[in-house]
Amino acid sequence: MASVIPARTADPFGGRQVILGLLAGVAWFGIFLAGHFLALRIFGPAVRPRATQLILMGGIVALPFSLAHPLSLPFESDLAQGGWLMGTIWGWLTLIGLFVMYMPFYYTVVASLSVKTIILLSRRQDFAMPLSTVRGQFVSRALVAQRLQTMKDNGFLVETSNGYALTPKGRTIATLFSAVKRVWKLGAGG
Amino acid sequence: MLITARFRRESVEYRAKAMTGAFLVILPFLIAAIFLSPANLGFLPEGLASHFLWADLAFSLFLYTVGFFGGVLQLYNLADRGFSLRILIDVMESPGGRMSVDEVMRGYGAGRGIEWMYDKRIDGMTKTGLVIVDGDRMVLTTKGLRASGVFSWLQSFLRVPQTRSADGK
Repeated sequence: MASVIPARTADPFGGRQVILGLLAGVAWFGIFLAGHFLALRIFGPAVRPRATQLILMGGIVALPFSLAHPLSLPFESDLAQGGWLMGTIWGWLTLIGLFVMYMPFYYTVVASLSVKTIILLSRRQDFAMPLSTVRGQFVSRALVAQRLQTMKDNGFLVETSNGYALTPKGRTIATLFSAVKRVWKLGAGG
Repeated sequence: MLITARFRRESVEYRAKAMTGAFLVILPFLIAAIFLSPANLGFLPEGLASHFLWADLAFSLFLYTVGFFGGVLQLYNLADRGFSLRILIDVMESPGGRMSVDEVMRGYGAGRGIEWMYDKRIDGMTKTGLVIVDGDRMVLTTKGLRASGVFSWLQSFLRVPQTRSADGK
């Protein structure tokens, strides 16, 4: 087994560049989370998605600059040295990877109807409600109207005189996921 | 590819579980590939090769996990369960390319209606043991109560407006 494990050659950076890049990615994700939680306290629901995107973009832009001093910009080194470039790539992958793992969790907490249902039931003395009452809460015109408004605020729909229509952004998403459903044979879904 | 082939070949009831199974099946092959491949993959300049095998292994597993849980599994969740996404597809497929609120209520899910959507949620909550339907009542289980406590705290922390029933509770 030992003979098939490749020997790792030494290099002047000792592999630090990628480790520092990884740590920078984790650190900037921590900063993103702090900024995100602060934004949730300052901004209303309509503004939060945009604020979250801007905070993430800020972290992506700042990360390579934060690595520049410890790793030195590759003015005279070339790609073969790794250094700042490899550290930045590792950092970006780490930051974006952690973000991609966090956001589905966030939206489950914020938007899931199942989560809202069990919280609603937990507030009742006997932890139970008539099924018709629960349905009335979540199968409601108000819920649908609110969701359509949110989708309009986020640029997926536009309101016309006789209903909501797709924006180009909404059409792109709808086309993409319609294709995914066809390939995976998921049926109507939703 | 494994998942796509299976979904197209047969009807899979617990798709998320099947996908997680595929993730776990492939995992040892990924670990073996990392140990067995040369640091420079046979073509990279030496300066680009990582010099810590454990860092390579950990980062590869991290990216693989992100790609699955944050990528493929989320793609499936959105495509199969996404409420907003389904509305977008319904609007796209509607005859006039636009739908009013009432048309969305009636025509949601390719004509199945909004009640069908919530029936799916009830079915899911029942199968995962969060609630039981006892006659005409929905009852929270002990597991559901524990989960609701956690999510209630998270919603409070994340400043999510609280859902209240018609009687204000």
